[in-house]
Amino acid sequence: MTIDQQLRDRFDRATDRSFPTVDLDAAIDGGRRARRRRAASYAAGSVAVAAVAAVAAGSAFTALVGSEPSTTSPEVAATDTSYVPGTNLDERLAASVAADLPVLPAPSDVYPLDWQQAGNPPGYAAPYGALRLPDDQFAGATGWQLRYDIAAGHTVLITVGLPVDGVLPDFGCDADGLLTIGAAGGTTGWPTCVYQHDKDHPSTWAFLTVSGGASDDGAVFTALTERVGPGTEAEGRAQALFPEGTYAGALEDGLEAALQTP
Amino acid sequence: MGRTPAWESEYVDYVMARQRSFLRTAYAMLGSWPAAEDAVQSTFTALYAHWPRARSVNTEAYGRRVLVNTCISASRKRAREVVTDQVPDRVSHEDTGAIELMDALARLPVRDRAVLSLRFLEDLSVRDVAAACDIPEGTVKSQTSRALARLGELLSPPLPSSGTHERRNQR
Repeated sequence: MTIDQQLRDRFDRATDRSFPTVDLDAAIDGGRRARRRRAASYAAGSVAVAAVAAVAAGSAFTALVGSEPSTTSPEVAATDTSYVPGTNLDERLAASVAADLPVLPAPSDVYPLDWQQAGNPPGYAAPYGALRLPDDQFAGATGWQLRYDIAAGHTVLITVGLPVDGVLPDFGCDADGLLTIGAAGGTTGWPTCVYQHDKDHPSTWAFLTVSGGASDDGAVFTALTERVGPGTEAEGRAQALFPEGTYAGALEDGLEAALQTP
Repeated sequence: MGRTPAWESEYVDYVMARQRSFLRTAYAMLGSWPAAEDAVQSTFTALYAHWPRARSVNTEAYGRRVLVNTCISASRKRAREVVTDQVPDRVSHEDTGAIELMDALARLPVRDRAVLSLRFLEDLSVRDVAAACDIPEGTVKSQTSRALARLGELLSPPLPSSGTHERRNQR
């Protein structure tokens, strides 16, 4: 008997019992509650983002004319971070990643982006084909990115896309092996753990993984791109923190929850 | 009461068809039937919440990926909560071989347990395991090989060393 046959046989015997039935009603009730919470929080989030933008715009106007704003948002002011003033979403995203990938240091930068607009030159921190937005335009972001500088030439980028109605981003690997996000829509597949030899820098290696898809709320995605090198492929794999493709999926739920928290 | 989504019957069919398989996989990963039931219940709840997304992609892979991630999270949580050398739940009929297997599995990393259970309990192909675990097919093969070798060392009498474990399921 071969090793796999033995293992199958023992597995079958170990699980030879009458199985309990899943509580389908409870699963559906729980799933419905989760969907309602998500819908409500997206709606609340939109209102909150609009309110924050209004406050931010009001503050800027006030600074120009030299008077105090008539309304303030102490919650927002109290939770501002050094990454993007006016929101604590950057902080929540960073906390979510820290919980799921504790091996990472604190992010070097967190910033909003718009994957529906192109504009970044090669080598820019954001994925190619996605435009990094000025911090004060975060209310119009279609995604966020967290950058982690591990060492010289060793960077991890985590990108999370917000739901956008009716548009699915196109993902791919560009010549440098970095994640690309096309704005045209029509994604047919999600690359997972593709690594490519960097054609311009032959001894540099990049590993990326994407998880996501269409949802009722629009296209959502999480991507992790890690760039290491120089060195051989084996050295690159040994150097990489996340050479396998499980990480974007593992981050997805936490980041989605962070996005949904008002 | 809210409107029932048009896809709900499809979801119910999926749950009915997969619950036994999911429970077996979760048990192999967690070594406890109550923990397996909790993980599978959580998995199906999460799948309902994300069903439109699940059905827009590879539903089988998506569902199993949620299950594997849920079991990995549960395993880590249990490891944090309880430090014990307690063996897993006794299997039926005091089957010595099955008990040994579950004891040995408990000593493997949870990701190895996931790969082994999907390959050899659920008979998934290398490709399907890769999709379920979100890792490359090459990693599935190497991880399977390492995990089998480790399992062979832990089991008594040891499973015979063989290179035949990739023979099946190369679909």
